[in-house]
Order: sequence, then C-alpha cells, then structure tokens
Amino acid sequence: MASEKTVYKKPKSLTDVNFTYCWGCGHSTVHKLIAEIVDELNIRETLIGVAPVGCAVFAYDFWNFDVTEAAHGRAPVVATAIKRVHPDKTVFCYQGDGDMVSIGLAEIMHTANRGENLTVIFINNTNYGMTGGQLAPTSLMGQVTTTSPRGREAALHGYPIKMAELLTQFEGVKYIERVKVTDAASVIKTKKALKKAFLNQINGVGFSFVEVLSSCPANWRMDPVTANAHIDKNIAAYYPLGLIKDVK
Amino acid sequence: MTTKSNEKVFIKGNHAVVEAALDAGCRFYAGYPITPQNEIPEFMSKRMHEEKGTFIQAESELISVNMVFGAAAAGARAMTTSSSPGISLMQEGISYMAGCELPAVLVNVMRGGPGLGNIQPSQSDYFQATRPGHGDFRMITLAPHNIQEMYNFTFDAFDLADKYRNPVMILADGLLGQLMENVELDRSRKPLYLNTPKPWALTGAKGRDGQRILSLLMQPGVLEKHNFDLKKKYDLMTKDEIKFEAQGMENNPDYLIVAFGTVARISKGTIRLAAEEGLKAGLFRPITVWPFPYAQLKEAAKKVKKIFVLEMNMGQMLDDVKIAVEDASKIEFYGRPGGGVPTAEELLKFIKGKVK
Amino acid sequence: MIEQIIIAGSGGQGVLTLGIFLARIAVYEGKNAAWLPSYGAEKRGGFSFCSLVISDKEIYSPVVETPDTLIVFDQRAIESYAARAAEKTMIIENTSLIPNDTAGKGKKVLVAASGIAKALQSDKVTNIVLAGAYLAAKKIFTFQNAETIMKDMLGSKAGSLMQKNIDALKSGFESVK
Repeated sequence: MASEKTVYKKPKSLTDVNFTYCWGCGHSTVHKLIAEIVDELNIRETLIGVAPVGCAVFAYDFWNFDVTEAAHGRAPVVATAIKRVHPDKTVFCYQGDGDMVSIGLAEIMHTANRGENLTVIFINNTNYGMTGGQLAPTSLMGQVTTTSPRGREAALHGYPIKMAELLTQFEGVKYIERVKVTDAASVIKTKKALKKAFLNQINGVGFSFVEVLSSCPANWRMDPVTANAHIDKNIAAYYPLGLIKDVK
Repeated sequence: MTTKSNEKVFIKGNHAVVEAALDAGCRFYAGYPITPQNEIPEFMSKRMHEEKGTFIQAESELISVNMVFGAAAAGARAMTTSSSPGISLMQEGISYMAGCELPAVLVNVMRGGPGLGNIQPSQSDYFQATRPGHGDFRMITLAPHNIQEMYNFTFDAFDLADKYRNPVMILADGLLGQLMENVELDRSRKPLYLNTPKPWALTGAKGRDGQRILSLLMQPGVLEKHNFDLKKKYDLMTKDEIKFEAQGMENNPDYLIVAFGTVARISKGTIRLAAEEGLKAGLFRPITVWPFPYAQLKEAAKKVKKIFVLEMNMGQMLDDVKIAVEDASKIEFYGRPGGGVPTAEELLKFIKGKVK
Repeated sequence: MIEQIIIAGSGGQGVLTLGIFLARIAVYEGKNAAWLPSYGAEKRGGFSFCSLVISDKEIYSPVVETPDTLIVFDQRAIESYAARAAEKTMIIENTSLIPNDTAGKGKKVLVAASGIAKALQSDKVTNIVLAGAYLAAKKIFTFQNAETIMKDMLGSKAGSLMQKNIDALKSGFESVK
C-alpha cells in the first residue's frame, strides 16, 4: 500500500461552511488566502476581523476567528476602536468598493491619516455586487451598470477613484500594494502582499493596505474566464498593479 | 488600589459627566465637537489621559458612535457624547448596538432645532431619545434635572448598559451642560458588572471557535425570534428600571405638573410660587423618559383637577402623558420651543390662566 | 435667603470668573449656588455674561430674570441689562468704562473699578475690584472667606498673584464703605 502524504488541506481558520459566492467571484479566493495566512502566522486566537456591508457581509460565516459586523462603510473606525482597546491583538478590516470608496470614504481616509496600526483589505470589483451591480465610484469609464445604463460618463458620474493612489499622500500610511486574483501567479503574489500587510501590523510598522482587483462575473454579465480577462486587460490598465508605497 | 474619599466640587454639568464616566470605569471615549457639549471632549481629553484610557477626537458623529460600537464589541466600557444634530447622525450606530446587544453610554446635551437650530437649551429630542433609530428597539433614557444627577445618572447609565447589554442615553440640555453647581463625587461607589466577564466580547478566539457580533439575521424566522428576545429584555427594563420623582402628592394637590429635566426644576419654583397664592400643585417628574412611568403617572393623575404638561418643545412627552392618564381632557400643555427657557413666574401665569 | 445676580461685560474682563468666584464663596459658606454662563455664538462680538443664584434652599431655576444684584463692566453691558433692574436691584457699575449711566430703577453703587485696577498696575483685576465692592455692598460673604477662595482659585499662581488680588479686593471693598 502506497503511503499517503497530505499536500493540501483546508485551513483551520476556515469553518466548514461552503462559500456562497457566485461562480468566478474573487471573494472566496481572498477569504481562503486570509485563512491560510492566519494559520501560517499562528494568529487565529489573537485575531479580530471586521466585516463590511456588501457581498462579504457574511465573511464571518466562513472564517473561524472572531469577527464583528460593521455598519456600511464604518469598518475602519470599528477596527480602530478594537485595536485601541486590544493593542496586543491583530485587527483587520475587509471592505468592498461601495463600502469603502463611496459611503465609507471619510472613515477610511481618517483612519489612514491617523496612521492606525491596522491591516485593511480592499476588494475592488468596480460595482455594488450585493445589491445587483449598481455604479460604484470605482466603475470604469463607459461601464454599463444597473444605474448607468448608458455607461459611466464623466459629465454625470465623474471618474473612477484610485483608492490606493489616493492613500499614498498620508504620512501615517506605511504600505500599499495593488494585486489581482485572476490566475495562479497573481494569487501567489496576492498572498505575499496580504501576508506582508499582516506582518507589518504585528511588527508595529503601521497602516497597511492591499487593494485586490476582483471579478464580479454575475453582475458584469460575463463568464468567469472572460471576467478575469477583463481584469487583466481593462481594469488593471486603469488601476496599475504592483507596489505603490512601502515605508520601512 | 487606593480608596478615594468623596469630593464636593463646584463644576459644570458637562464636567460632571466626565467625572462620572471615569468613576464608573469607562476607559474609552470618542466624540466630535458640537456646542453646547464641547466641555465634555475637552475635559475628557485631559482626564482620560490621566486615567490611561483611550480618548479619540472622531472626525464625525458617525465615526464617534461607530468607534464606540467597536470598543463595546471588544468588551470595553465606552461612551460618546453630542448634541441634537449629532445625535441624529448617531442613530445609525445606536440601532446597530441595540441589534448587536452592545452596551454603551450616550449623552445628548440637547439644543434647539430642527436643522441646525441654535445652541440654546431645548428638549427637542424627546422623540429621538424615546423612539430612537431604525428597527424595533428600545433604549433606557435618563433625564437629569441638576448637576448632581448629571453625575449620578451617567454613572448609573454604565451599570444599566452592562446589565442589559444595550445602549443607554442621558438626555440633558444646554442649560444642564453649562450650569455649575455643587456636586458630591462618590469616589467610593463601586461600578456594577465592571468586572463581570463578557464571554460574548471579541478578544481573540483563544481555545475556542471564532465568535461574532452581528445584527444581520437573514435566515427565515431568526430575526423575528431575535426581536422577541429583545422584547423580553425591554420588558425587564420596564419592570425594574422605571424611575420618577413625585413631589407634593401627600398634600392631595388640585393640579399636577408633569415635566422632566430643566423644566422640572423650574416647575419646582412654580409650585413654591403657586403655594404662596393658595394654589396646591404637585410635580410628577419622569426620570426614565423611557421606560416611561405610565402606571405611576396614571395613579398620580387620578385625583387632580388638571394636569399641566410643561416642556421646552412643542409637545413631545405630551404624547406619553396622554397614553398614561385616563382623562386626557384634563391635560393642558405649555411649551417653549427653539431654545426658549421658561421662568417659574411664566409657568405660574400659564397655570393661573387655565384654572380660573 | 435668595440672591440672584447678573454679571455682564465683555470678553477678557473676567466676567465669568467673577461669577464663579462669588459662587464658590457661597458654596464655601454652606449655601447653594448655581452659575450659568453665556456660551458659543452668544460670545461672538465679545459679549460676556453670566447669571448666578445663591440660596440657603434648593435652587430651582438658575435663570435670572430680575436680579437682586446687577454688576456691569462697561457701557454696552449697562445698556443691555439696565432694563432688567427693579427698584430692589443693586447695580454695581464700573464707572471707568461707563461714560453714560443709562440705568433707571435700582440702587446704584459706583466704583471706578478699571481705574482702581490700573492704579494697582493690573487691568486684569478689575473683576476683583468689583468683587470687593460686592462684598462691602451686599454683606452676604465675609472678606476672609473670599480670601480663602481666591487663594484656592489662583492655585499654583497664588504665590505671584495673591497680593495684587488681595489689594484689588480691599480697594473695591473700601471704595464702597
């Protein structure tokens, strides 16, 4: 009988609940990467997460560590308070683009400006997923959504906000990287970036921010393969990938 | 730990709130500037530092209240303070805390409205205190009428918040915030539940599965059950926490004044003046404006000829008085809106005009 | 007893401090006191105002309509508040800054407080000169208790400022006697 060797298993930091995200959605991938990192850094028992309002509102169903909900857009200030109460714990928030860049812009900007020692994970899929694919501040020019049937127009909607670049000006922000999860290589890069954002907090470096370009095939009306190609070709062209700020 | 002795101090209502919060073990405060409560964050920024707690000047009232949400979720005794327009913004967080069953204390130093209104004392937020936020929830609301009560009730509020895992509001006004009076700070008073474990709080999943603070309950029937459970809690508050003051009832008064907060203290002067003119009046002062002392007021109102509801608004508590008393035709209302503070003489004149 | 006081003047004259000073002497003497300032936008334009109620009994309304004592620091203050005075009201006027006395009803106590303060080489003690005048005119508090509270309020600055303030209090007191 051939001996068996475990080469892959579910992270301890995931519950047994199956992901309920749509086919091709980037959330499941990023959720799993976070769980793997939490296991690898051995911080499951000292970690507190803050979930957003939006598609990832149920993130706490899938993660087996402490998680609180936050009102729409308020995750960074809820996380701020948790970190101030428990400075010895690792605290992160996980937000989508409607949550962070629209209703929660004040919260993320001031939290960044205060230089809170937090890990912030930003999932940018250029629309409001949960509510049915409405226009977000991050939607691309010309993007057709359920509230921009003629496509995004500058005169009506302005231009897409580049959140990662916007945050670079704050002295208190120490690390910003933009990544994607469209293929194996980019998933590995994303994991590296997320891990660094957690390690920065543990090492007291300060506010660390990872923006993940993530696909939303259901609302984009695309199959998953085409959706990933859309990120590679169009979205990443507007939102450049790579390291944006890294203060040692 | 050193045993502190009680202190008599001559301080502002806003300062009394700070001393009470710290004496009650509050070590997390987030607040945003708005008149007439600015002395609270100002004084707190100094005192909280001395007590080695966390003071954050939030960048909006939305941020303050959601920071308090986070601190409460993490297990801390937490407080925020504001005035009427700021409380409107905080209603979001108050509802979330009620839904998530998080304890917290909010102080509303009311000013005139609607809109930006003015910064004069007012009781314009009785509605948004006693009928707060979105969703089907309740919140104990204490209405002090002097600076000693600003201190005592703020302290009480922290114990009540922890007892029921629910936000508690202090409903003060600009006059009570700014007024200086002699106050005894009870430095030896022990906070209740301060050291009671909070197994629900998020502290890291040490030796256990992860747990959640949440109000989102989408599965069929779960939210309905949650609301029934919350109702049981609100029923307990109604059974055990009603507070009121009745003055002069032993003299079988002909007239009953119903007033809370600042108007209640002014009404005490009115009752003294009325007695000099041979009018027998008593005072019924709800201290918990929620839970409202309906049964107690009903009893007190039975034998009087007239009931005078006096408020610094155009008739908000009036609705509760109408629910409480058997014969609403006995009720007369006098209100001063938009920052007007009545004098004892003015209230007497109104009463005399109605009893002739 | 009940003593209702209105103090009015301009920012920087020590109007609010004078009110707190008198309130704290009252509390020290075992009486109740309630002090209420003007605040926020009311202060714009440099106006400064406070009311003070002192009583042996519980103080119900801290809002003063008709004062027993009206202390006015300058012309604008007397013009704004003289109408509040009744026959019973004692009006303590800083005549140095009131060229045109518009007060009608009430008993006047005239003190050139700013002038006296200047002679002591400190404009900042005008309010204390008026406090001295109040002590002498109303005879509610003892001079000694006023000194005790003054020392307490000056705190760490008592060493350098106490003597000047005592001189101001005395000068005000004697200007009325």
